[in-house]
Amino acid sequence: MNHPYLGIDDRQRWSRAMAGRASTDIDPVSLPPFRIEPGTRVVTAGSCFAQHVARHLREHGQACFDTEPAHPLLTAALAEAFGYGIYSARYGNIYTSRQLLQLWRRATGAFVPADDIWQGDGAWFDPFRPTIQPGGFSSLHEYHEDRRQHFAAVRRAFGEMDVFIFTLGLTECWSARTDGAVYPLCPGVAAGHFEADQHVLLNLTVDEVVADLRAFTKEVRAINPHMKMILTVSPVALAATATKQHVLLASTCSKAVLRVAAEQLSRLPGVYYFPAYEIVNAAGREYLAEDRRSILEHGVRQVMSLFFRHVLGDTAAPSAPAVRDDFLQHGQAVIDTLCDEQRLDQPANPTVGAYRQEGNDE
Amino acid sequence: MSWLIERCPHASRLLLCIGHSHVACVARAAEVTGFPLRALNFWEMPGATMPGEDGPRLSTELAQQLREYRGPIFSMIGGGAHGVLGLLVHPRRFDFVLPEQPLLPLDPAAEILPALAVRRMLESLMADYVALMSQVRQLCVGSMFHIESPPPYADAVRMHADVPWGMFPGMCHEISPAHFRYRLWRLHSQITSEWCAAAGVTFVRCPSEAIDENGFMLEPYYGDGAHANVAYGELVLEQMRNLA
Repeated sequence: MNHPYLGIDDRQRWSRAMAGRASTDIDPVSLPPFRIEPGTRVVTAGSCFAQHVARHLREHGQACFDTEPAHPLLTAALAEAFGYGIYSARYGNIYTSRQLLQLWRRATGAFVPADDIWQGDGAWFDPFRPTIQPGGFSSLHEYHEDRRQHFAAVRRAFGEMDVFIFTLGLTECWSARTDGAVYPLCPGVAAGHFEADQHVLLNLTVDEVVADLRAFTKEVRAINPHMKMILTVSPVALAATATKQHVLLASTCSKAVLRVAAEQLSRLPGVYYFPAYEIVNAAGREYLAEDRRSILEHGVRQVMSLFFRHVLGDTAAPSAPAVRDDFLQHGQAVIDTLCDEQRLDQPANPTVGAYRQEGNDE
Repeated sequence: MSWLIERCPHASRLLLCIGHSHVACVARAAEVTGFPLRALNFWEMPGATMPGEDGPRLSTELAQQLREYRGPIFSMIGGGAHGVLGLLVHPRRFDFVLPEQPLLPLDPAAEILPALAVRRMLESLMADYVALMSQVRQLCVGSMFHIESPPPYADAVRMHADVPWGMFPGMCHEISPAHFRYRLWRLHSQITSEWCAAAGVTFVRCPSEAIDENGFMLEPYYGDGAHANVAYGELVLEQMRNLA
């Protein structure tokens, strides 16, 4: 007898690749068609799991290509609060393929949403980054200046990157009925107001996700033809669904759609699928927190250790040591020097008894 | 050491101001005009403050003397943090949109930082001074006033000539654009006035005679890159006299 399953690799057979194995011994990663080498310009984006990817890359010495870095005067906590250093630019979480495509088109001026700014509580909010600025923008002018700067950073990141790591998170998103603009968070959740006659729920299909990412790849490659893409699917389940079904069913369907879309896209040249979703799910509850949703740190580490083993080149460049900003010390020194000179000019005894001004000389 | 009583022959009718370098121009003005002022400059009072867990602490002696003082206290504590942050151009030029005056011209070569982030940086630079102001407020039996720090001077060329750059080799020798310095001064005053409002302290705006239509210090009141002169001090003395 002869059949196609005879002589297949061990990794193709469940009994050998999965059964009885410890979670840390399960390695479903396929050979990548390209690798990330020291100096490779890596840009990350995606759902909240993508934050883990970016953080571990940094800790591993593979700093992301940061085109909107925090100013060195900002403390680390302040920088993080304002969305610096989390991704390559301050775009925040990008949960859907539609949101990613829209970001590129907004940054290049190809799409200008009608619903472009929200006002409330004396501040202005970016509908497409509603949490990027704690408390919102303090003025309309600040909002426009910041967004102009941000779009330039997005254009540079996508236009000059070598490898784009995108973590697909959701299929559900809320959209403006007028022009199809999609929001990362439903209006009214973090800012803005939900209006049923203005906002509509979208639940992207496989074809739509594929079409979005094909369009994104085509448009970015028009100016950055060598861009390669690594797709992952977030193993983090949906927090909630607006569809009228159990959240587990909605989450399963969403992940299935994203997984199939990623599979189809990985057949395109220069696109590679990394199985973060499978690595976490193969471990059952082992990598999940009590909420059955959050990924525990050792689960993230396992995903990233396989990523580093297979996708990173042998020698990652060491992280550049943080450059100490001594500007404030310089500024203090100059001010202190001027203060010294004020002191030198001070009278010997500043208390004078004879007040000579009219009406005060008692 | 007695900072308040022994050296004050006219203690019953003098006014007390306490603070840092901005005290100097007021003290000189008092000398010129014969105004009965006791000017306490922390720079001149070694031992008047000491490090504490949450910032500097007033010494026990000074605290006791302030507690026993019955008149109004005029605070000129701090007042230079905006200069530390923005007198010089940072190697990575930055600017911000002032919430209360968003249309002021921005530095076209600078990146724009969130105004709230700049405010947080400034607050951290002001924290030690606010700690001292809080302690003075707690000790103050009478009224307490805080004098706004002098406005910036627009002419960076004139300011540049006043900085002894030779003492600072290898660092940036460029004075920041005027509107940037103005924004930082306004933000500094905003933070200070908010603290004053919460602490029951009267915030005293800079004398209107000393500023031009754009809010910059007029030339007759210029002292150096960070301070006003004795003529400005006289205007402040007049404010103090009217408030006391």
